[in-house]
Amino acid sequence: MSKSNSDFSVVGKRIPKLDAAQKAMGRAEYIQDIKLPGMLYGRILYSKYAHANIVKIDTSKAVALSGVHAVLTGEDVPEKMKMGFIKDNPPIKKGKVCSFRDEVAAVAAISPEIAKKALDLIEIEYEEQIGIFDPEKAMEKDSPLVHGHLKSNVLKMPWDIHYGDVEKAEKESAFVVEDRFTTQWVTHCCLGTSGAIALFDANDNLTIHTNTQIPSLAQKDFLESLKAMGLENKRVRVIKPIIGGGFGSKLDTYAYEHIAILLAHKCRKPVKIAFDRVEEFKATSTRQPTIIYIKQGCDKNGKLTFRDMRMVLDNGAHTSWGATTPSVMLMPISSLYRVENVKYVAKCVYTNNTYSQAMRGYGNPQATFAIESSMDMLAEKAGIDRIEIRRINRNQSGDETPQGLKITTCGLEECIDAVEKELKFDGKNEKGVGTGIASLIHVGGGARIYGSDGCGAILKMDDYGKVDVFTGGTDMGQGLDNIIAQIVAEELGLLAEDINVVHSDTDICPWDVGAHASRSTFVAGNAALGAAKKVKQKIQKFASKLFDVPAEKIEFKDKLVFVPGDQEKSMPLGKLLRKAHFSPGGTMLMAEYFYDPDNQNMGKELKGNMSMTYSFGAHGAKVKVDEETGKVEVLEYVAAHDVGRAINPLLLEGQVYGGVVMGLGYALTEEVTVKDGEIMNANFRDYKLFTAKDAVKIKAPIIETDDKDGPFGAKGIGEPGCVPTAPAIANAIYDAVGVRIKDLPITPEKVLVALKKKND
Amino acid sequence: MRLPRFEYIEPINFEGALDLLYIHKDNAKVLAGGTDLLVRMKKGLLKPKIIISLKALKELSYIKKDDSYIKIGARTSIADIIASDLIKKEACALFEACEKIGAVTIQHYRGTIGGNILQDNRCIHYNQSAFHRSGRQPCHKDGGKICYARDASDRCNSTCQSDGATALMALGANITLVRKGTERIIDLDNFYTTDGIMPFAMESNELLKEIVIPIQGGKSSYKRLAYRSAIDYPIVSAGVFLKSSDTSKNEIEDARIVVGAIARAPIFLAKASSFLKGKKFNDISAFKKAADISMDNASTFAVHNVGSTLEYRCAMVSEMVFQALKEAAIVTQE
Repeated sequence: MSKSNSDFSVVGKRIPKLDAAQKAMGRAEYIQDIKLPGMLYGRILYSKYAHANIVKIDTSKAVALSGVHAVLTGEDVPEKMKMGFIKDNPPIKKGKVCSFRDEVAAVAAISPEIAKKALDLIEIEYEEQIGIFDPEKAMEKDSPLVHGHLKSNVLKMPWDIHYGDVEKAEKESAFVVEDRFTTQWVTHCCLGTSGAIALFDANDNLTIHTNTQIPSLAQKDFLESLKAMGLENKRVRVIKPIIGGGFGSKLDTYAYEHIAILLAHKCRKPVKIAFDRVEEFKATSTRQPTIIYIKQGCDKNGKLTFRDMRMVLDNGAHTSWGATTPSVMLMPISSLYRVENVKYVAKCVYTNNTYSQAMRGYGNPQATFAIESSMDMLAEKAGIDRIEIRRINRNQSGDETPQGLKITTCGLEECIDAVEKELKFDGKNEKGVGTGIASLIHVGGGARIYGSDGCGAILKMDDYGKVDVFTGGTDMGQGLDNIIAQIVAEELGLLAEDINVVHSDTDICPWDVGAHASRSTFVAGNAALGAAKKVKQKIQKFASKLFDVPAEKIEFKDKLVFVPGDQEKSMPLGKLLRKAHFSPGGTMLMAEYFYDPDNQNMGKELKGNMSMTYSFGAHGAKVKVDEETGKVEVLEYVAAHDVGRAINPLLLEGQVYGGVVMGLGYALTEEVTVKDGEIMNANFRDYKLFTAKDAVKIKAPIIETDDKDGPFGAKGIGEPGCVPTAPAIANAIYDAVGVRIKDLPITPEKVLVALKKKND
Repeated sequence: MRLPRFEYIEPINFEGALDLLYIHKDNAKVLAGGTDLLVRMKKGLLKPKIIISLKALKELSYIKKDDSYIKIGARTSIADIIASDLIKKEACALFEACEKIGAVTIQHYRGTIGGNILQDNRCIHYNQSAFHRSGRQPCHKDGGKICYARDASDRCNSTCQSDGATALMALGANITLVRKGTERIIDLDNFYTTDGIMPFAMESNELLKEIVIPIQGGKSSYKRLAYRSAIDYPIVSAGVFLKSSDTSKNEIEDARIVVGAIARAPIFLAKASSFLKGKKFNDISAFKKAADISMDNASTFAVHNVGSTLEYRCAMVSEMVFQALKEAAIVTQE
């Protein structure tokens, strides 16, 4: 029988973030706060063109400036030093620039001011080339090439998939809808801007302090850079400061990190590169803008018959790991609702725009926007209620989808019920007011993107009953430290504050593939739980000798180790640990555990159970559309999620609220505006991130399905909050005023144009 | 982004500030709340050698009734204006405008009314980082001869997005400008120059001392459209003032319609305003007509430079004017 929350003493409790006071009082050390002795300041010079040949670079004046220690250009970068998924991106470009964001030079100086001055003294002669900014145009045969040495702007990628028989299913469908949707550039807007400090010891081993969500994979990238620099067999230590938000932005290593390494090596001093907000906007990445063609059909009863989708992604000028987002888009395309026949083609296309990258949801928000908008269109065409069509086609526990996803637990129906309970869907709203619903599926039990989906944990008991947990996982503000503390505390009968979670240093912490794919609670949580169970057994073994009872009779609660029913046989955990340490022939109580979920890499066939379990959810929105201005006001919002179990409902709600507000910005206001490849709104005034005043009241019903593989039943919830937000809003707008906006963001002008068109 | 170097001087009285301006003229800039000035300095749009801070000049912070005028000191915080019953009652448009400025924190701790009406014009092409601008020829406002907002334009097409300016112009406000030894009063219609490069008829040695709003017994309203609820400039705004005649309460004797955030200066729309004279307060179709005239007249001056589309912003001129008129009329009737 599954456990209920009352069976737990720490899990399921609303425990505020353990680092909240540190952060609120300004004590937390971000990269901006760190200063090392002798540290220099690095700065990067970017291209002034979207596409140009570099004819000449003259750095002599910068080199001559007093206080400048090093000036680098593309010529100084080793040939093999390249970043990204297909290693097409050197940290400083040589000979040619392909986007405004391309790095052309870098300096290190004794102060940020001198470094800036040095940049101003670098003279570059460019020869401008024709730029290509529209991915569909870039796909045309005679399009200019972004990279001249390639035959086409289209990346060689595998997404051309056909499950079942779409053509046949289409013929047999009673109703078919077809349309084109587009999504825009948005960016992560981490409050903590990017930065890194690199330094070498006398033996050329590298230490790098950097904001990263992938310490272990970053370590690998940096080792490759060292190798390219001729530094073989060296060590790389990655130290993470406190990170002010990730949202996927830190899933790749960036040019600034590799440039800091080059500068530090050249200067033999620590070199810090820290971005200001403009640089953060211009030189970090965006979510992939997409052009989506969707066709889907159902039979006369509303049962989905097929789904046929084609996606074009603007890759930008270089290829990050984010180019693999089509693999994650495949998940909702193949598996949101039961649909047997699925066709899917995705193309990533080089353009002279900024390169896009991983961002919360990793392609899922784009795909779900099209799917869930189209679901409403199909329901209308088939004359079926829009909630009903979702119920008819809902995923269910025990399903295996065409892609091979094995749905272990599924609370989608309960989520839809929860949304329906909170909002009226009877179409009887006042004029201009409407409701909309959209569902989601997301990986909730890790995601095997790489060969491994593993995470390690090391657990060390101290002398006083407190615990240090060294995790491979990364807390970038989302609260993983709390989750791990609560999991370990529950297992060992302690309080959350008895657990110190260390995640900051690759010299200390075990390996992990990174904080992505909503995997940390599930994977890092299971790793910590595994280590806690192991150490528990060791303690039981030690106590069994002490109490003279079989080990399995010993329990842990309220910081005590005891045998139930025998008051004599009870001891505070701390005392027991001291006995272990101080007895002759003593023992140290420590354990390690590596958890790698039993999920599958999709391989070349793009088939397989990529996650151990899947998270589901349904969002409902009630909006009011001002028919005179086109402005949309969100009146109510419900975000119901199947989370397996809420380890900490307070943090979980925080994740959902944050996700929803991010999703609302995506739906309504946010867009990186780009003019011929150049970002025009690189600041928070012109980039319309929601403000506190724009945020709406969100109800976040939690559906607990107690997943058998999750730590205490939990699934991941990091990303889902922002996945179905845009279609829920778009569907509500349609319900309110009868216009369907297919291009994000849904700005007042788009709504007004559509209203005019409808009324004419 | 860092501030360029400057010398900071904090005069202890008004005379001291005037002396400093007299000496330093163009080399100095006056700092009140800094929410406009410092941002521009960070972007390298301005590099004053000297900053004259009004921080100590508490004497410039007041709201008072003087005969049939409301007088507001230039350094009065936005929050004080929002909190003033006098302004809410006699100059509602200003109250509504101030409510929309920045965000609560900016209204309380930084923003001043003087700073708001003296904020520089904006343009998406001009208000960019120094690096962004360094990659191209300078535009008119940046000292060059090109306009990126409108091809082949021989003048600057920046926009005045001040909420306060539009509301105050609708209220028929004057301002008092002082320089060492002399002071002058100018009405806002003449103060805003429609020159995008130098949007104000103001000398570098002058200081804004006071804003004077006549109490005329009419009702005013201010409406604006922006994407966000806070920290956002309007993309269109409208301030209106309606006054009933002494003989017939239901008849409009005087009207002033001003639209903002659409052109180089807030625009007083004389034709639309005079159209309303003699109309009834409950004549919704007259308001609609006046709003459409406003749109037609304002569109001539509209510039495409603050995001959104020009078509949409022009269409919204009519809507904002209409909303403001309706609101002012309802309040009058009550």
